[in-house]
Amino acid sequence: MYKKIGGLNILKFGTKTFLRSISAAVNNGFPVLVEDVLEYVDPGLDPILMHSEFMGEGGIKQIKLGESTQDYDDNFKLFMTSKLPNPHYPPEVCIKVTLINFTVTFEGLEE
Amino acid sequence: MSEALLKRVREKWFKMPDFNPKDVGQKSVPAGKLCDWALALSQYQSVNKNIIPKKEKAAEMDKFLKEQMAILSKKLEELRVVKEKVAELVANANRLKAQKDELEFRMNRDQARMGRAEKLVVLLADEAVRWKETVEILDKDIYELVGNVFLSCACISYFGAFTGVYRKQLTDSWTLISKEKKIPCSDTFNLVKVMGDPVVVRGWCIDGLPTDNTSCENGILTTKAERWGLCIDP
Repeated sequence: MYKKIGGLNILKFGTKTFLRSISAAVNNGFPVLVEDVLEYVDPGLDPILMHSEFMGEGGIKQIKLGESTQDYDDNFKLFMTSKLPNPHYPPEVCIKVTLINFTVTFEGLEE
Repeated sequence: MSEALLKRVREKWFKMPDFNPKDVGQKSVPAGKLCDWALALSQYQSVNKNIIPKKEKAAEMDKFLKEQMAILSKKLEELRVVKEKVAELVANANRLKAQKDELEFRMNRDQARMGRAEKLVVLLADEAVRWKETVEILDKDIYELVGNVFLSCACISYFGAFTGVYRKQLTDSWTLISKEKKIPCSDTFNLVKVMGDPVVVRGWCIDGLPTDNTSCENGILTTKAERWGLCIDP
């Protein structure tokens, strides 16, 4: 469903082009996967995580990312994955994201 | 001129061999003419004798003809009346025939409809049973909707971080509390059943998602949650 539009952009926190890449994805409505998240989430993502987009001039959805304001495309999707086996996230992270435990289950392994 | 006189003249005079206008004319021209006249008169008389009955007959015939003509005209009048009546009857017959055709057409059409309706009734009889069951299930679902949606919200918001076993414990305890608080909900709550579209879930499984309940729940959490997902995937 998501991969058909422009493919899946795979990013990592801490790379130099991270904010620029995510801005482009928000602009164009590409889905983004942020890999290898540790127990810390980049505060630069907060506007996206908190859904703080707003109606800008001319009825176009916009969002403030860092210093600049970007047009917001409704097709934009964000996913994050963590490789930690038993991570502990502080409450301020828990309220911003939906934690989903994809640890393999017995039934899943049985197939 | 009487008949008897003429008869006498004929017998007495006409039998004479010399009695003809040519011979008599030689003796005396006036007598020749007279003879000619007498002969002509005799001839006229004999012809006239024949003609009179014929004239009478003609008159009689005329009368008869008139009578017959009168009868004929009367008959013609009658015929006209009858013809009119026939025309009227023919028109009537045509109208009735048209009516009959119309009725026959309707009868055929309605018979066909009747057949189809019977078929439908027979076929729908089975459906009715199924629909009744569906209605019962839907009634139950509607009654339990409030609690199920409430539990779904709780699940999507909070139980994503846990593994299957703990999720089960959580939902079980939530269901129990809901029952205690008299919130209508299913006896065995299942997030996939309430929130999942079977076709979509099937599609995920075809695309490689494990078919177990926890994985399907994860799929629903990823798509339905308002917040973006952070997947713990060691």
